[in-house]
Amino acid sequence: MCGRFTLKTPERIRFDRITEYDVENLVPRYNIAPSQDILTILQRGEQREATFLQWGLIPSWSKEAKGIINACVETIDQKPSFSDSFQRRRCLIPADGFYEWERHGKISQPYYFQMKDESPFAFAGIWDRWQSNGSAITSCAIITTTANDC
Amino acid sequence: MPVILGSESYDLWLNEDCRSADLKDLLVPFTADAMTSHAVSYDVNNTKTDDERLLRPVEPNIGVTLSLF
Repeated sequence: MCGRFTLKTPERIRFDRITEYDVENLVPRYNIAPSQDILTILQRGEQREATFLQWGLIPSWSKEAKGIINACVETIDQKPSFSDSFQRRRCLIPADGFYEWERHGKISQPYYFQMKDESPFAFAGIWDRWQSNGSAITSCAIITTTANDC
Repeated sequence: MPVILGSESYDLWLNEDCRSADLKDLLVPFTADAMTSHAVSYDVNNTKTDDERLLRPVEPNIGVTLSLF
């Protein structure tokens, strides 16, 4: 599970060969949450671009605009919701930390994880485009691992 | 846990011609040694709260250390 993350130093992120990319417009974020528009890096032909996608992947064939925030590695190439995106529509999701909750009984303690040098990194992500009655939503999911999440 | 890709994997991950078998090799837990963690305030539970005070270390209420990997 990965349900919150940070991009507190967006000026430090570095990606090669990205067009139309302006980090000066990015504000520091300390609590990026599902359903928000998040920064992603995708490949379109020869071009690599930075674009904002809604966090919570809605498969193109879905009847309702209900998003899934995480795609599990162990089943990503089998589940209909993810397999096509995994084969054709992958992205990077820049971040520099994330939160995880440790549940003990009724208490769920949040923890913050980051690199020891606080440097930015990228989550592996997938994306899809959903259309219905003239409205369209392009959305993404963060890939997670370990069997507990599946 | 989220999959973190090293910068050496970016090209392969974004390559539209890359196939499943190669891709899954990239999706492994990140080296835990490179990361650090600390307990933070419950204020992060509220998605409307978005400021740097969320990152301040606090004493965890449950008395255990969380192991990520």
